[in-house]
Amino acid sequence: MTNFDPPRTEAGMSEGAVLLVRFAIVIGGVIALIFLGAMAAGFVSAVTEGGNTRAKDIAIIGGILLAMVGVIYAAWRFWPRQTSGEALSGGPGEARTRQRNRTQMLYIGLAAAIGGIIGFATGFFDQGDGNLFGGDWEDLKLPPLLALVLAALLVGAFLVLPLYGFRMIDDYKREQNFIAFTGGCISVLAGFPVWAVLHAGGFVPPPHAFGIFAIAYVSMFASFIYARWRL
Amino acid sequence: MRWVFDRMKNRLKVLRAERDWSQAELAGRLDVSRQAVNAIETGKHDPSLPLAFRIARLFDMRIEEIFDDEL
Repeated sequence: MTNFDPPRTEAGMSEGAVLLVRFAIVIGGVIALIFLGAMAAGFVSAVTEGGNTRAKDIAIIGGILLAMVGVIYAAWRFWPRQTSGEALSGGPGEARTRQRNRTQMLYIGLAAAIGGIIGFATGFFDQGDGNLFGGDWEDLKLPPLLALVLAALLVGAFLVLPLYGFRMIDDYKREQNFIAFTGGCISVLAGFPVWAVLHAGGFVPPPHAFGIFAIAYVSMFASFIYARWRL
Repeated sequence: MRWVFDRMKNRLKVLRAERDWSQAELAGRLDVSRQAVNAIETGKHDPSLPLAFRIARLFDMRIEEIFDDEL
């Protein structure tokens, strides 16, 4: 959930080129949103009609989606813009800020690359008919060696990188991230018993491991958005 | 009534403007993000004590000359 400063785009692009870049970004964003919506609609449709949404398809789509999000995010980061008073000075502080941004972009790129590799490898080498969302874990099959590699990458993506990121960011962003993690944690603490009780009352299906994970992830993201909006 | 999330007021924006520094310039000198400077200036975020000391040293002032909870 880390977030970083927008890098300064070097001056020198003509106004026409800037306009073209912005136009391309807008078109790309619209296409991405359509893709997202279509994918969500397709998945919901497949689930509600009892269709088989295979883990392989979902993983490959997830990998592509992650790559698209990465491209859109990078485009947004490099969107030419001036912040308040930016033209006033170009001293050592700004050079330090640009260096900080470059380091953090490298961090984001590494995290996105690891995520893409995990998603793609999981989908490409999947040997079973399991469904991550359906909970039929017995049918999820990967080559043992690949499973070990992916597990190591997941540890890196969900443990090492976030902890390292916490050391890189400043107080302000750390506060935002604490709120995000708190939101995710509280949602799981509350969500699981609520889900179990509702299941006992016959309202919903039994609690599901991926569902709990999704609650944590979605609520963490929502909390992060809230923190960015409020702080 | 004072709420837990009430923030302190500060003169950071004025001090920065007096030196013709951008937010990015000040952020770099303080080794924080530009968003952090913006959040402090707009009163959305209170700096930690170490950062408050860095700010005070940078402007060669005392902390209470920059930050005030009753401004």
